[in-house]
Amino acid sequence: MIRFALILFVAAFNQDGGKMPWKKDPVAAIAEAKKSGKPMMIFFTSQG
Amino acid sequence: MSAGAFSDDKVVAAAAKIECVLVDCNWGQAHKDLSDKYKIRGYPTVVFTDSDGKQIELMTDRTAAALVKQITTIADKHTKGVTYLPSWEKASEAAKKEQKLVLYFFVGSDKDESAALKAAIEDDSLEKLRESFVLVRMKVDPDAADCKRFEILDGTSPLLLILDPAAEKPEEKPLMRVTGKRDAEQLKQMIETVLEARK
Repeated sequence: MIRFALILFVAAFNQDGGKMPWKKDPVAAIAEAKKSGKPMMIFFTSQG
Repeated sequence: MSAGAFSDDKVVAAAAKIECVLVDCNWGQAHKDLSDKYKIRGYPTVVFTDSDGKQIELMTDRTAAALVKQITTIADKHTKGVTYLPSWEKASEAAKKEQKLVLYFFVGSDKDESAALKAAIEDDSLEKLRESFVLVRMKVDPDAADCKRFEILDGTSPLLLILDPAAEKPEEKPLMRVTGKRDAEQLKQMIETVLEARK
């Protein structure tokens, strides 16, 4: 039961990117950061 | 982060200063190169890097206030070149929070004039002065909301506005309005005059 609840919690937590302007194509986003000179915040998650 | 941190308005506003990248690793089945590069051992993990992808640090605190501070500190320290926000809405929000003015650069269709004014804005001699501003840039488009707001009807020459986002109707009382090209020295004197008058 606890294991099941934990799995549900982790799944929900991982999928919550909130309202942030996430770019979901890492290759394009990294190229854009290099071009704009902006630092990056990279959110590693697992939604699959 | 807590579930709410990424939905906090202040965090979202601060995020305009950095690139926010979401990497769905699909439990190790995808983006293995990035996971290996940043030595990801679990999910979720948030890594801050510079614009070249060099790791700076991990997210240190999951509260919204701490995340705003971390994003802002990293953006201020690691942003290369001059950063412009894309709209008055984002800039005024950021400027209010940081108690800064907004310097709005409208890029005209005259490429030479616009390039000259851009070079002046980004000149090294103005580096210290730029810290008093949140910068915004957009190409003049009479149909765009910001052009309507600031009554930018002629899109030929570049235009520079200094605005106080804390004013009641900043669009009606710009602190400075410059049309056409200026060199860095001219611009520096103009900006210093505006800042001096506000002391």
